[in-house]
Amino acid sequence: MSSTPVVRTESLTVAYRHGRGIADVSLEVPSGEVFGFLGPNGAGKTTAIRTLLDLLRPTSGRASVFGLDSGRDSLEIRRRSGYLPGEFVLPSQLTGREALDWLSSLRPDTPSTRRDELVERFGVELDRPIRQLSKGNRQKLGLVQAFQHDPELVILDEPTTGLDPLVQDEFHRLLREQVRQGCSVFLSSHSLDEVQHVADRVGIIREGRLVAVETVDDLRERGLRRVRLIVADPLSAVHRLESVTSISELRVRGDELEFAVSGSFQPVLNALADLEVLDLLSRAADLDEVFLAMYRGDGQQS
Amino acid sequence: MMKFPVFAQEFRDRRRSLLWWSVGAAGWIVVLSAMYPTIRDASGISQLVSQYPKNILAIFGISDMDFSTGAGFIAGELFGFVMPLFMLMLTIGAGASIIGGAEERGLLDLVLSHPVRRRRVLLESAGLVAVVAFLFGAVVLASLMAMNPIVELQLSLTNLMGTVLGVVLLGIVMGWLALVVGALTGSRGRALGIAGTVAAVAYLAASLAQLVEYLRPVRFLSPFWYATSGSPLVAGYQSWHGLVLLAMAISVLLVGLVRFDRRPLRT
Repeated sequence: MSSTPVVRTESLTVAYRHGRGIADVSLEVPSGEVFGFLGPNGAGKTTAIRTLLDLLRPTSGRASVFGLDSGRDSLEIRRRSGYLPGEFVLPSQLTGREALDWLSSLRPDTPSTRRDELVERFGVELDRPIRQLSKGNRQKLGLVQAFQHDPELVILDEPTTGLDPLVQDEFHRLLREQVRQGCSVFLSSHSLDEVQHVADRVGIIREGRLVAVETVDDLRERGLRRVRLIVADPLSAVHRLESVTSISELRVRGDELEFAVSGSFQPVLNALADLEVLDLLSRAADLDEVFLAMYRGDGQQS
Repeated sequence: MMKFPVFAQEFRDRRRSLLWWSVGAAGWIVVLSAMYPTIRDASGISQLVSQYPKNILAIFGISDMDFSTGAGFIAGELFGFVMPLFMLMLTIGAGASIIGGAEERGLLDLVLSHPVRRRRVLLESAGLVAVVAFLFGAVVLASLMAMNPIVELQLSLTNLMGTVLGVVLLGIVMGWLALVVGALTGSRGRALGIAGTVAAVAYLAASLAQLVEYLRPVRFLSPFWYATSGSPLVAGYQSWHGLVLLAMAISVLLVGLVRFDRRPLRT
């Protein structure tokens, strides 16, 4: 396999008249990787993705896909990739089959060899007009059209929106298979959970800037969790927990303690070992909390 | 596979509306023509019309109204105002929605994520507007040709074809304008608004220029004037008028081809 990265951006900047956009985004996605592009809504994920497909033009910097320039060689890039837009729409009077046929006809060089298999796999409704389909069923059609010509790269903007959990699972399985066959995936999401589930590496974007690129393993390692703890003796619990370095933001309210844990959970359990714990609730921190933790981390390093 | 996929899909979208417009226009023509013998024989009407103030008639596009002949009657009642209006509603509507409307609905992103050049999307869309204009023109022509012998309109076939061609070309100019505005703004509403306003101004310029001396030079800018002036149904359509309309249409399209290619699409 060649060493040319599938996707590469160099100081990519796309400015809009009303702010927003992206600034100075540089990243590389090697061939055969699932790259997750993570950020809250409005962070610039869609802008970056649409620039790769020449739907938007860089204000400065450049983007290349398959080593080809995103502007000059766009036709070749689009021929070899598949795309699921964030807001996926089809002509509503067509049936699913007609819509897929129409989209295939826009790719005369690459026959839709995988359509039947994908249709069966996702249980896609082909014979009803699209306006009668639920959001989830439309999204399934979106997945089929992005994969049906067996592209080398699929670019997916919030692909699991509206899909029920079973279909999401099937979709994640499909991604893994694709990658095994050498396909690369560039996918955006605002869900840390989903990205951790499918991606090899994650780029985190916030307010148009790429704040970090990490492997999912690293991310999980420092995986931030929020813990709520109810103990019989809060004072001694606080005392013990304060000495645990992986704990931050410790707050006490009556007999209830709240704190964030990054990395391993074991030190926390050790510290609590001989205390009477009445209740313990632990959940994955949401994206904003991860961001905050990340910024704190940056601050400490410098 | 399909040679013109963008065109093919849009044509599916539009054929139903085209069908109903055609039925409506054909019905209008049949009813109108059927009235002709009565009006021709009621000798008073021509005199009555000739007594109207000239400006009023001009505004309604019936300056060359002469009800004593079939050509005068059809020219005044049909080609002065109604047929161009039908044509423009059809082609401006099509032009505005093909690209501007698709972008508004979020469909253009999907199309252009496929290996299709923007130029090709614009050219196929322009082709569709032209086909719509010609098909509608053909329906008008066929309806009049059918009624011609029945009610003895005594229309000259050459002049009739020329007249219809003028209206078809007018439809293409304004339809392509709407198409290009849609492609440059990504907004169907703006395309409809701008093309509609231009059409209204062009219509007024062409009809008022006959009355208001200082407006006379303006008529040379108006596609309406090139489509309908000089009583084409009576005197024959002047081919240089057609060439000017063709040049206008192509210029508009060229602007679109250059600018659409370089524009960021809206989400």
